[in-house]
Amino acid sequence: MYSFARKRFLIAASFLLKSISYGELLYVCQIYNMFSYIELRSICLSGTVNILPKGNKNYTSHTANKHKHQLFSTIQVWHNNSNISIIKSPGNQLKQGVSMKLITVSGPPSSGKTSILLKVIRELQRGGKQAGVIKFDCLYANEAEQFNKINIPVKIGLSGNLCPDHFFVSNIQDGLNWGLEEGFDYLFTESAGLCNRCSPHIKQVLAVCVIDNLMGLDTPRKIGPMLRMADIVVITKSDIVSQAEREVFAFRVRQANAKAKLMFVNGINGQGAYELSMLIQQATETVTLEEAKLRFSMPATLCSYCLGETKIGTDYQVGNFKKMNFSEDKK
Amino acid sequence: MTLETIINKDIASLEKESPAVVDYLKQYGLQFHNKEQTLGTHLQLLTEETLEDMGIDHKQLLINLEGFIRQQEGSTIGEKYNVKSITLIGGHDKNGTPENITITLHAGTITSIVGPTGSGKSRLLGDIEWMAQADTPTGRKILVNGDVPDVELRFSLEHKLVAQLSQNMNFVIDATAEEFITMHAESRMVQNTKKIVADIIRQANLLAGEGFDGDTPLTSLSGGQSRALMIADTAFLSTSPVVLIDEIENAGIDQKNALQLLVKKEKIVLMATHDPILALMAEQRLVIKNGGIHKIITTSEQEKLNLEELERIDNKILSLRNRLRNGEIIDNIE
Repeated sequence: MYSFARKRFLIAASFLLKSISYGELLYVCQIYNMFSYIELRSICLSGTVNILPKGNKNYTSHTANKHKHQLFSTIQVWHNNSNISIIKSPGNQLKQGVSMKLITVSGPPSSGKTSILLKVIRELQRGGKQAGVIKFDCLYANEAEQFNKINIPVKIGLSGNLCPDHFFVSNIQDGLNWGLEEGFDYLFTESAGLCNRCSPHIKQVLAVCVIDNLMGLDTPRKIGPMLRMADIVVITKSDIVSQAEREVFAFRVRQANAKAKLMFVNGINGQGAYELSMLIQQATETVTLEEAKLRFSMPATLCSYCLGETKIGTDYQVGNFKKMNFSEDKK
Repeated sequence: MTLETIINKDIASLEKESPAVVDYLKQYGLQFHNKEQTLGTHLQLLTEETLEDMGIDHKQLLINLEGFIRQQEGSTIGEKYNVKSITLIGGHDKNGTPENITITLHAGTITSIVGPTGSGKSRLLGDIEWMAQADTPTGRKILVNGDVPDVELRFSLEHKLVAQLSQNMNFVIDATAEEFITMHAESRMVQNTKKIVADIIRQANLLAGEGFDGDTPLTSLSGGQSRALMIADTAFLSTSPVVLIDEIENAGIDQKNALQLLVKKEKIVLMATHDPILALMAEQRLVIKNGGIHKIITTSEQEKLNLEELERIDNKILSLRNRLRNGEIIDNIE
């Protein structure tokens, strides 16, 4: 309901606002405290409104007033029809020309995601860019200190007893908003793929998967969408295994994902981090994730155990579950 | 062999002609019950639900399958990409002072790299591996066979320029020497796997002080044996034309023959070392200082003569070590 109403709202607003410039829109909204600037960005950068420099001289308070009324009356109609509340602006100023690139980084636990991010962000900082990190984890995450040490703002989200993937996707838009408000150039999300079926990558958002050479040569075959749908696969811990194992491992990663760029990065001494940062700079900008799509469906369950059932036995299995076939071989 | 021809074949003939393709698809959990169906129909008939269970969509599965087919043919293409030389065009050091050098490293030669820790040895290797085109912090440029390489090759496995061998490296996989080398050979799609595996193990035995056979688990090889096997494997099976050797220990391995094996296999050998014997085995050495190539020294005739003396000293130490091992008293060192 909410997102449908929001969508209609954005479409109508874009339509209405076609006649006024970006600067004028800002003017209206700042005066009347109508939208958050993030919503404005989605409207303006969706391409339906021409972005013009701020401060059109021909734009008078009279026209602003007229636009305000148009906007208000439109919103009023939706408001009555759809029970959404009008979001008040948080009072932030939109930084003009600011654009943020979102990058999702995922990988099995302890594969080196944090080390890689620290090295890559340091390279980006050297180029005068600012980056923030959202770290998603399950029960415990103590990486904040490491990030803070080199001036990387970080937010930590613990999923607790929820599926970490579902937790990730239901918080990502809010996370993006945080990044936009902070005015970052780059926002990284870091999420541990706690099951091999994790699927955190989003269409149009640069997707990085980090895996390490110590996981065993069969691992690339066992990891699902997290690896198969990634744009860049970073292989770590290459400095401690033999060249031959490295080659076989990379060969198998290539079989799991035929088109990703493969990078060998050393999380300890940073070898390869500069090169990875160059690739990351080519990411596209993300303004909003409303209506964006995951690259692949997330692992699903909806059964009695999701709701806290602890007893074992057929009588307690309700909902979406799957049975193994143990009798097949006997036939 | 194209994706299209594969897709239009029925499962029964695919199993006969391209068993590798069928095996590959089985890895995704695909089951082929109706052997008369073509692969294409089979894939078309997969339900949304089955694909979700497999964790891959139709499109990506086809992309991967095509990649797999290309990979099978690709390694032969990789061998055709014959790197005869790498040219390094100098950039600048950490302070921005220009290096003002152009140096060409030829196949079958050894170059050592010397310089204090943190002086920029890794960066130099990084530049070569990345085929830098003035787009790394050093501003260096790398030419392959005298030409600017296609930067897309940076991400191609078959064209990885640098293979590395260092003291910190270990075999971590739980397999015997023979099993693993076979696995490596298969991933390279070499023609005569059995022969090459036997060659590598024989060669590694020549390099290692103590012998081992193909049934030895990798993890129970000694340091010297592991290193010998790594070098022999790199010489025979690695796709990379450049081999970087980083501070390799001198115990339990015949370094001179190890280097000669790599040279014989037309590798461009780069060796980061502070061991005078190893450093002087190279035709030239690059002196790295403050992130830049400070000097290029060609090994002089006098140095080569000194190498013999150094080897004599080394052998003496080695014999002392053996005496110690055998429980002797070191009362004289002659």
